[in-house]
Amino acid sequence: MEVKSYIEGSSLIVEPSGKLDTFSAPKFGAALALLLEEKPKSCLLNLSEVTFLSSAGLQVLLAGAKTSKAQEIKYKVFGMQEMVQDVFFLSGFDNFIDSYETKEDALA
Amino acid sequence: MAIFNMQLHQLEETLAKIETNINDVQEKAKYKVMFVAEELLTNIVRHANFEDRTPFVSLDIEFNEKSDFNIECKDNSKAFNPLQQEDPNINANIEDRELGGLGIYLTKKYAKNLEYLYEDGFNILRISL
Repeated sequence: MEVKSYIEGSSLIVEPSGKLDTFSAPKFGAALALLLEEKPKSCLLNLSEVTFLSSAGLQVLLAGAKTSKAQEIKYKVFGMQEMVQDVFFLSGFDNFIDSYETKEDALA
Repeated sequence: MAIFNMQLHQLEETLAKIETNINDVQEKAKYKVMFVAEELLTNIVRHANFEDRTPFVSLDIEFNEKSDFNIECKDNSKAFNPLQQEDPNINANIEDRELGGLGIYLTKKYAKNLEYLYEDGFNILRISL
């Protein structure tokens, strides 16, 4: 698991890659928490390079969403691979995290 | 068929072995098996109470060319039926949404069949995917 991040306009784009499983998800969670402390206007997670999302990964996405909500940061995800998206929707995360196919859609 | 016996400190290498073993399986089936395996084994490592017994944990995985999987998870911790755990409220709004319970919930969603029994001092969970 690696995490890259950059600013585009007023949005922070965060790009984890590899697996978000029980071993790597906490590392991503720590990186994400630190990035959210900078209070960007919006935080977009590019999940296109995430190959596996387990319940540990879902917990990190949820924690990020909760922090963002409390800090009034717009929080979105985009580019999910098929099974990652399956897990995301089955868990009902679409109730509180907006998801998009592409970065352009997420930025619009 | 493959049987994976695990010591409690071997979670990461056990999951890696399982993944190698099912490497040729269709991607979606592989994802579901790895999701379920991680969930079951992680729960045992984190939460199971082995009291004064030497921990025994095994995962048997059987599959055919159609990617039908039968998984049996067996351990000698204190009797615990994960199927009785209450499902998380997936319609809850963000403030009320809780962090736990999703793994077993999704395991139930992915399973065609699930059965739990406690027999001769062993928790046995059988899942077909």
